[in-house]
Parts: sequence; C-alpha cells; structure tokens
Amino acid sequence: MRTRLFVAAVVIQALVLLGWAADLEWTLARAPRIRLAVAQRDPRDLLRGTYVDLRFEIQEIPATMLTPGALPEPGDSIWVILAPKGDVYGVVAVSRTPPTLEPDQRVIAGRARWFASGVSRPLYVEYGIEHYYVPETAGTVPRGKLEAEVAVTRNGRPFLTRLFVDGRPYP
Amino acid sequence: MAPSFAHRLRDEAPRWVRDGVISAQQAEAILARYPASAAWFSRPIGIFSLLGGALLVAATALLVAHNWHEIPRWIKLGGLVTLMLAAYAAGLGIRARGYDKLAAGLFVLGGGLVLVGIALIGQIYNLSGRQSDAVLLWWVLILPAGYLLPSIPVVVLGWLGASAWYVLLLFDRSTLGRDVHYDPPLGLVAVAAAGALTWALGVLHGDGEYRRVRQFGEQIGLLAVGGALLPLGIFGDRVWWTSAPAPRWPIAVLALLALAVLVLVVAPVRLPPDRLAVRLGPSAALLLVVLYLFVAVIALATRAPAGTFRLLGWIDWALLFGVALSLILYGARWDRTSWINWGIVWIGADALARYIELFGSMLQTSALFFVTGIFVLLLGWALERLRRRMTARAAAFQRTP
Repeated sequence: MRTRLFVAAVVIQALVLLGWAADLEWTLARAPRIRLAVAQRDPRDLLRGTYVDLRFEIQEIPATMLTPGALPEPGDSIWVILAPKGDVYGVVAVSRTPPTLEPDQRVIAGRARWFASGVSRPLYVEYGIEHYYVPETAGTVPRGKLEAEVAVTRNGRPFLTRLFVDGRPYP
Repeated sequence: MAPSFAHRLRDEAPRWVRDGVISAQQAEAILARYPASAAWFSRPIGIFSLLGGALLVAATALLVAHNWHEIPRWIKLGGLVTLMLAAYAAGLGIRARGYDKLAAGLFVLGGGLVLVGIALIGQIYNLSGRQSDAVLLWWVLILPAGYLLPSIPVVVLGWLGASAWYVLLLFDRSTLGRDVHYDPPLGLVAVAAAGALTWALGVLHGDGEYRRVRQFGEQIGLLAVGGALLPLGIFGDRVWWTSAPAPRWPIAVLALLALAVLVLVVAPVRLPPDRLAVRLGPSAALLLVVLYLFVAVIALATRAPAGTFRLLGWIDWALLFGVALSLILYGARWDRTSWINWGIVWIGADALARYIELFGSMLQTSALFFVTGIFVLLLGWALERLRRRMTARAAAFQRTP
C-alpha cells in the first residue's frame, strides 16, 4: 500500500513538471507579442547556465505616474499599461488593480521592488522576464540597439521569447 | 549495500559455535562450503564495467551539452522526467533486493532531479521570478514521497529544501524579508521562531521509523534557536535598535511565533514515557524562548526605549543558559545525546560571548587574545568533562530497567 502511495507521489511530481510546461506552452501560443526596449544587460546564472540579465526601460516608473497617497510597498502587485511609442511599447499609466485598456494598449503585470534614490524617486518594477538564457557558445551580446520580444497574456502575464540586436534576432 | 551470504556466514558462525548451536568442526565445514568471494568492484570485469560506464555517461553528457539548444524543449523535459522516474523505479527495485543504501542514493537522485526539472522549465521559458517559489515547489513535491516510502534521506532532503526556502524568504524584500529589511533583529527573531518550530516538529516524529528525522529536526531546530539567541544577547547595543518609526506590524513573524507555540504545546505527546510534569519540561523551556521573542517583536514594533533592549539582552543571556541547562538535564534523562551536546555548545558560546562583551573593551588586543585563549581552553575542557559525565549518566539511566 505504501509503495503504491509512493508511486502516486512520484507520478504527481512528473505530472506537475509536465503539466506546468504544457500550461506555459498553451499560454505562450495564445499570447500576442510586443517589443520592449532594453536598457542594460549582464550575464550568468550558475544553476541554469548562461543568461543575459536584462533591464527594461519599462522597469522604471516615473514618480509622476504614481498616486502620492497610495505608494506601493516592495512585493505589491502592479499593472503597467503600455502603448506603442515608435517601434517599441512604453509606459503610459500604472494601476494597483487590473485596468481596463484602450484598443492599442497592453497591460503587463509585475511586482514593486524599490524606489530608486534621488529627488523624483522613480519606482523599480520586476516582471519576471529579466533573464534570457542563451547557448554557452553564443558569446556576449553584440553592441547595438537591444530590444526584447515579449508575449503578454490578456491578464498581463509576460513571457520573454526573443532578443533583437539592431532588429536582428539574437543569438 | 547488504553483505553477501558468505560474509554473513563468517560473522554468524563464531556466535553459533559460542552459543552451542553447532560445533567448531561443523562451522569450519560450513565456511569451507561457501568461500568468501572478493568484492564485485575488485574483480577485473567490475573495474572495466565501471570505466566503460563512466566513459559512456561522460560521452552522452558532452553530446547533450554541445547540442543543448538544438534539442527540442519537450525532448529535454521528457528526458529529464524519464531519468527521474527511472531513478525512483531503480531505487524501488534495488531496495526490494535488500540494497537499502544504494536505493536511498537513487531516491535522493530522483528528488534532486525534480529540482533540476524546475530549473530546466525556468531556463526553457526564461522565467526569472522568485527563487523561493521554485524551492517551495520542490520541497512540497518531494517531502510526501519521502514520508510515504519511507525514505529518510529524501525526507531530510525535503526538510533541507524547506530550510533553504525559509532563508530565501528572509532575504526577499517582497515577502518575509520586507519586515526584516526594516528591522534586522526581526531576522534573528524569525530564525529562532523557526528553530523552535522545527525542534517541536522533529520531536513529533517520535522514536519509530522516523527516528532519524526526529534527530535531524531537533538538531536543526536547536542550531537555529541557539544561533539566533546568541547575537540577540547584544540587544543592549545601539546597533540593534532604531528610533525611526516602525512601518507596520510584522504579521508573518507573529504568525510564525503563534504556530511555534501550537506545535510546542503538542510536542510532549511524542516524548518518552515519563511523569507529565517532566514531559512538559523541554517544551516549556522553548515556550519561554518564544515568549521572549514575542516581547522582542513588540519592543521592536513599538520602538521601545533603549533601556528595554538592554533588559532584553540580559534576559537573553539568562534564557540561553537556562534552556541549555534544561536541554542537558532532559537529554541525560532520555538518552538524547544531541540535546546534551547542543546544551553544552550553547553554554560555551554564551560564556564566550559574555566574556568578550565584558573584557573586549578593557584589554589591549594582544592581552585580550592571550587571556581569551586561556579562557576558551579552560571552558572547553570543563564543558567536555560535563558532556562526558552527562552522556555517561544518560547511558547508565537507559541501562537501568
């Protein structure tokens, strides 16, 4: 009996891993893609291999977009409303609750991390797409205008799908 | 690995002769019939098999590594899940043949591959969320499997995962670490509270098939409680308190303290049979620690005056000494040598900390090192004598019917 229960527990482990991946595949397949401008990059994760650590322009929310009386604390959920600004999407508004969007807008959900120092104190937000894993043989990202293709679901969950350097896919 | 039949015969035969089951001549005849063979790994075929297997594994690993990004993601994940299931299945099969240690190794490998699977999904889909969430998923998945089998190494691996998850939370400013960031001593309070909880959870495993988990939980718990109470003893120093307004009540730390109280109250049920007042003793000692931690949280959250923290520091010294003493006495009573050892370590560390705190600013550095060296040697000698005496008493107590 205990062996059967053990086998059931092991099967659950396998199902969780496979089911999680299937859910991600399903969500990715249905999410529309947008492009975001990347401000900085930096490499490497010991456990998961070589990656490019990205810092997006939309991660810094200007203080003027925040409601003074209801500033978020680290860990609070944030919905950032994006709209096309040239080739990429940029921040147009911020909400503490899931917002209603205009036709050309997209929403991306993240978590408040900290307020940067300085007089204007912009808010730094993390979206969970800051790492892009690349082959070890790919070398460092070449210099040039770096952009990221991100699939964003209707409720704002983002998935980093590709990187572009000067408009060409990397690696 | 289980000993072979021939090796077991060599162990058992002298006892059979001594007990009069068989004669010495019969024992020799039986042993001659089953000559002991050399260990499998010392035979040439064993060595060649090991070498060949290692080369094959290395070649496969290199092949996979060189083509990693060309391998379709479902093949990667499927391969890893297959490896994980194979490790568990091989563990079950080998355990059925009596090779318990090898089976335990395979179960641990299976449990480790679950974590690799979680990391792989993170890599494939470029997920970079909270690391604590990945570790949480891992230990929640493997712990039930460990208990169900039972496989003590997998259970211990799961508890180590839970400990790592808790430490990650303490450093994560978007979770428990938010309160710790504003009030660093809260980190020590949270560690001590988790230690008391872990000790009580360890005790709840009893002396049956989960005895090793009990020992592990108790040791980890006592390490955490002692490791946190020691620095909290210098609460009186201005480093540990601030007059800045507290941002909010640390609800998560208070909830953890409440949970620790609950489990500490239940824990005596699984302690060895004894008078009720005696069985309540160890939990009562750690409940005092939890009460102290609760007062410390209130003092931090209300930004109490400096004198309060100085008083808390003195109480911490006394508490550390008192709980250590009770651990030694109860450890001797119930033959729990790890309690005795940790009690001795606590007393030694407490004495050393108090000594340095007292004389650190009064002596020049070289004189301080010299006198402290002598103090540490004498303290170590005295504590070792105490430990041996208590351990011997515990053993004698157990031998008495």
